[in-house]
Amino acid sequence: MTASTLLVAGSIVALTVIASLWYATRYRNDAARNLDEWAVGGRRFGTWIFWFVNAGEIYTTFALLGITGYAWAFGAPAYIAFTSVSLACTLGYWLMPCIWHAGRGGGLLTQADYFVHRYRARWLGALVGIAGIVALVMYVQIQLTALSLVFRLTLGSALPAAVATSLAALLMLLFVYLAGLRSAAFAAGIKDVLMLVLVVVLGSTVAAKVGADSMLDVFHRVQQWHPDIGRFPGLDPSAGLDTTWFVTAALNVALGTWIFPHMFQLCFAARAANTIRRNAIWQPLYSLSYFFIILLGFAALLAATQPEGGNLNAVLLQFVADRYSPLIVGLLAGTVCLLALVPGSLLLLTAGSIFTRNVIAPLREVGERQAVWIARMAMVVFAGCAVLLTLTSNESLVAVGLAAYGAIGMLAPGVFFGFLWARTQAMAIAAGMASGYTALWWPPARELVAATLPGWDSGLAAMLVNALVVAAITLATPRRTAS
Amino acid sequence: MLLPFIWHLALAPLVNEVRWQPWGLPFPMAWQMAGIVLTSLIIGLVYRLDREPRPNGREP
Repeated sequence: MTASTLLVAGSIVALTVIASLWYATRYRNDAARNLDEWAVGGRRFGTWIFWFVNAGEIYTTFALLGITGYAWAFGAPAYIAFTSVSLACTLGYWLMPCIWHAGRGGGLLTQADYFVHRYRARWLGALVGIAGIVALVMYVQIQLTALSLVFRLTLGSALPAAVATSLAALLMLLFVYLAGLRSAAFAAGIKDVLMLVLVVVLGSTVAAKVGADSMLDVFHRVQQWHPDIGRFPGLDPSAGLDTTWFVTAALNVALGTWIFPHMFQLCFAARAANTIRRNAIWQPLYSLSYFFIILLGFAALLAATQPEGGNLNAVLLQFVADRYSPLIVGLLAGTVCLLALVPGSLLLLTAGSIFTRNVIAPLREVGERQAVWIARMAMVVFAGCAVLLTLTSNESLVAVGLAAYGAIGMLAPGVFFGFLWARTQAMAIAAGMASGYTALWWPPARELVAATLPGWDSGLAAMLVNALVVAAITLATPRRTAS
Repeated sequence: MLLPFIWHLALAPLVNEVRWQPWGLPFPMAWQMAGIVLTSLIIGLVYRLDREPRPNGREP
């Protein structure tokens, strides 16, 4: 790759990081001492900053690299990007203010705090904390995969994957160590603007690059070439990505979006419940930008793009590297870096604070300064786990993302029942989680569930098992008299 | 608030059979995009209703 690509990509990342650190210095004294400021931004986020962090969490490399790859390889199944954001916001309009109220009322910092507060069981908080960390580490894997792809694109594919991934993890840790949620929020704003610029630049020029007359002509041509690309099950019927998969997977993502510990925690950072509600109105419209992302995937197909090793995560990078000038390649590389760095650092930040507060603190006395130190050490370990996961997996980013949603969905019944059904008790939630994880991860149980609910997304099927167990135990438990 | 779920999910299998291509787009894709606009409108409407003063304390 040329020096100008490297220069553009490097400058984008460096300038953004410097600017966001400068922005956070105004809060630095608080941030160093206080977990509340470091982890939930002092609960002062207004509409704009909340919007950017939220968008930053929803539109990650999962969107840019994952969805283009999915459109290129499968076609219609990529529509899941449109559907899941829209439904998540509909659900969020009701759920997020509930979470915000619980957080404000109970002085909660993490998702596991909510379980401790609602179910009055610290052990459940620790259990939920560990489950949340596992799902977060799976999600960090997505960001590391993307970062290492960009490193190999810009620094040369001779760079071993292990080195590229470790470098990516190191960069993520550095970013999160230097400040907290506020830096990430600022960087999220910059990266969102960059992503829009990139999407507009690529979207408006892509037709000419693949010999089509207009953006819509790209869709027309690709459907002439592959008549079934635009409808389910898409280009590869053997992949099982039919409408049943689509409906169940989209529902699972929508149900799981706010259950991710970092999204849950983000609700606590809002200044007011109305900040969250207003955000839910506008956030879906932003996901219309997936039109351009799917367009790019289809264009790469028309251009007969062949990523190295058939890796569908690398389709967009390969397509742009083949057809665009080094400057645009640099813009893409820099933007993807930020798209991975910002959400990735927030994921690690969340995992660290959960570990300190909900796993360690119940076992021993932890001071405020010590808490921040433990959180930082824990993040190194979690980043290491994510590096190992990344190196042992070669799945598509969307598949990894759906697996992470499957894992976090096991906490959804505890949250939903927590708000909707006063009778639910800690034991029922724990039993539901145990049966849900069994249905999700123990192969014989997974096969049984798959045979019972053919074509379903495994995460939603396991969530259903989980919820049924919680409901059955709750109904079988004698009602407690009001105290 | 159920409408977005009906539009995006419940109708997805039916929509998948439509061969019409508005502006050259696959119909299921155009449908999901229209669903996003509908969702924003519905959430916006519900937000307005939630904020309006409620005479006699009744739900809007």
